[in-house]
Amino acid sequence: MERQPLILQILNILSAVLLAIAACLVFFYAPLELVMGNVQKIFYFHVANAWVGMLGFVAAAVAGIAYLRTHDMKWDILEMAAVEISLVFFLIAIVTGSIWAYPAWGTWWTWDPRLTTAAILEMIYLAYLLLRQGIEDPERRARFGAVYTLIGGLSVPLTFLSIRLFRTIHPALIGTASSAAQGGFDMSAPMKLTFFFSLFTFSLIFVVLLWHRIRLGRLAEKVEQLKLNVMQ
Amino acid sequence: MTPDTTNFMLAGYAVIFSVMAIYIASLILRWRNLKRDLIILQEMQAKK
Repeated sequence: MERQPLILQILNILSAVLLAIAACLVFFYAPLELVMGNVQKIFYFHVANAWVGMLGFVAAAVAGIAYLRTHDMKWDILEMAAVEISLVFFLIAIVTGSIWAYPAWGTWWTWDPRLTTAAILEMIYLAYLLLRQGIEDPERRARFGAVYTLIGGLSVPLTFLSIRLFRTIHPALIGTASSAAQGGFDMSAPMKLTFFFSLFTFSLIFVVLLWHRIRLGRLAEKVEQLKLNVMQ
Repeated sequence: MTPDTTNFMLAGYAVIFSVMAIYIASLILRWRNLKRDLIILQEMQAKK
């Protein structure tokens, strides 16, 4: 396992620069929301993290399908990488949502359909990591992972659509919310720019981290293989 | 009147940057450990 490819090195720097710009846009460019105050600025990275989290869970399900079709371990490495990164980003989305909820709704947590489905989604993939560790045989582990992420992936659209299907206090940004949804806000042009810039930045960070995690997975596979050779 | 919720905003961003930094540090640490294991295993294999 050699030096990082040049493209990856460039993407490392680019994602760090874009993250710094996104943070500057949030703090110094996006206007103050008058009803909620500064806490509303959590929104930009909160949604971006949730987006990247869901994107990774879907990518893991696609990698699961690819593994079941080809039995190529590269798909298992991709699947594992996508789940791990998404767990981190989705955890950030849940925690920042809770921090935002306290001044906005007067509570850190409520068993609202969106919050509940998001918590279940996180638990499903946390269980995936724990259960994988209990399987020694790499092929059995990969097969289990593929089926699990495929079934687990069904909870992603449920979480995404929960604010549109059920009575909820969580605002919806895209599409029409349930008629009972509360707490939405209209975005001005600077807010939209900051939001979409953050969304793009976190998508790029996701790709960069995925690349790094895949390299780590390949190195781990190599070490595991060598271990078996030495022990024989 | 707009409420002062700056502390909540700062707490939110502290969580975001801290969790991301911890994850990146874990990737670096795991990479270094695996590289060390790889070198040891390659030496053991060469001796065999």
